[in-house]
Amino acid sequence: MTRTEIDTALQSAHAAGDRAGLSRLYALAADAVALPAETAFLLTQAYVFALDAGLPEATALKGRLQEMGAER
Amino acid sequence: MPKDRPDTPQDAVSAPIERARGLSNPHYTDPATYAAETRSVLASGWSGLGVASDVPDPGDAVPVDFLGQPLLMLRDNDGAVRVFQNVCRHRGMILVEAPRKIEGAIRCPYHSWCYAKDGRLVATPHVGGPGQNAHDAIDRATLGLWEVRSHIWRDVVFVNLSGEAAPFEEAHADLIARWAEFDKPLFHGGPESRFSLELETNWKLAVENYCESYHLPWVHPGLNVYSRLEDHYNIEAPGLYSGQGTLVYRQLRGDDGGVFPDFDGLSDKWDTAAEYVALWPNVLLGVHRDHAFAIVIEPHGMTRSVERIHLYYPTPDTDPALRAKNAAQWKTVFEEDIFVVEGMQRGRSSGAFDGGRFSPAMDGPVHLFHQWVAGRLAADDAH
Repeated sequence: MTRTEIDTALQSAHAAGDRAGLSRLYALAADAVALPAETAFLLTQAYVFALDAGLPEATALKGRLQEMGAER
Repeated sequence: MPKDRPDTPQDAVSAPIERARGLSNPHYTDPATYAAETRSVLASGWSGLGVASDVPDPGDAVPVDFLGQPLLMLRDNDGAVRVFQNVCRHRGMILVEAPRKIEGAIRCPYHSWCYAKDGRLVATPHVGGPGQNAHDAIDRATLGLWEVRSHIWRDVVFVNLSGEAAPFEEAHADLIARWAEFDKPLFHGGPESRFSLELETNWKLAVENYCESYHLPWVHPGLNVYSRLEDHYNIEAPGLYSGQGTLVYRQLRGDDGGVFPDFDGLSDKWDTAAEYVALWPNVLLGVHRDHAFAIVIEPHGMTRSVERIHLYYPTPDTDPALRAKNAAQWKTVFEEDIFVVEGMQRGRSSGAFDGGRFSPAMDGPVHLFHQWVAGRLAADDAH
């Protein structure tokens, strides 16, 4: 997916309250950016929606954030 | 020479029943007295909030507005029912607006601070700036949800908002012992065994009406066919609870003659006995050989109350048609009480009403409740 496609899908997922979709799409977006600060921001979004939805991916996302020094 | 008429409303309530008058009008019509009772009577002890069956599965969450406070009743992943203040520790936002399943964390809809189902604060996104989810000033270990002291008995979730009451088992040891034979698993009868009644009355009048049998022949003539006034007795535990019992309980029968199974191990006394107790302040309980019920009265302001009624059975597989028949019968009984509790509320607007006189023979349970309310207020005033 292009970044534009991801952004469009994110808007739809937000409108639908699709937390699993939001987590997956924010994680995709995080992998598509280069700046560490932007990656941390997007991974945080992915992590929070994974936590909210009770997704097992939350653990790995938290680990990535911890490795970046963005989470304790 | 003994006084025939007590001097003050407080004296009037605390006098022996032969000379006593009931709680005065301001207890039902004065906002300041309502506020004082909310603090001294409802918040300081163990009040009913709901029932554990409202949150049957892990993650089930029900927001409850109780005494003007937003609370959240939640079953955690270990199956324990907990009660929290339903507000985020960040900006005080309401966390859960409507009953729902919490699948993962409780995420605040404002800035997405996340709480585990046991109340721990587990995520604070961007709290240190974009992409920085921690900050030295934000100690998550000290910022969990405020938990409200709670205790479950007979499926009722009791809360002690002040946090200062004696432990529930200690505070209510007397009734727990009285009904020890009924300390058995209770199975909620399901959707048809759960109903609510909205009442235009102060919550206390619903308690008062429930705990006496004097009104039965007049207000519940259907009950009286088999349950005459002389078959009832008063239950009086000063400072704790009051109610009434019957000696002629008869089991409900279905169209095929079937009955509900009995609770295991009951003594012969309960073959024909049943008891109805108002566990002060706001929980009404009933026990019979083959079913039980719990009513939680929610005070919604000075002159409005909601009764949440739940019926329980000794086994999970009772006859649905018989359950429906039993629920319909009880609903009829409780609806018959509406006009009296609402009529008494309107009667409290009479400038002439002086609290009323009691029947020394029949009104003991009501008088004890009034004494308890007045005593709780006086104790707080003394502080």
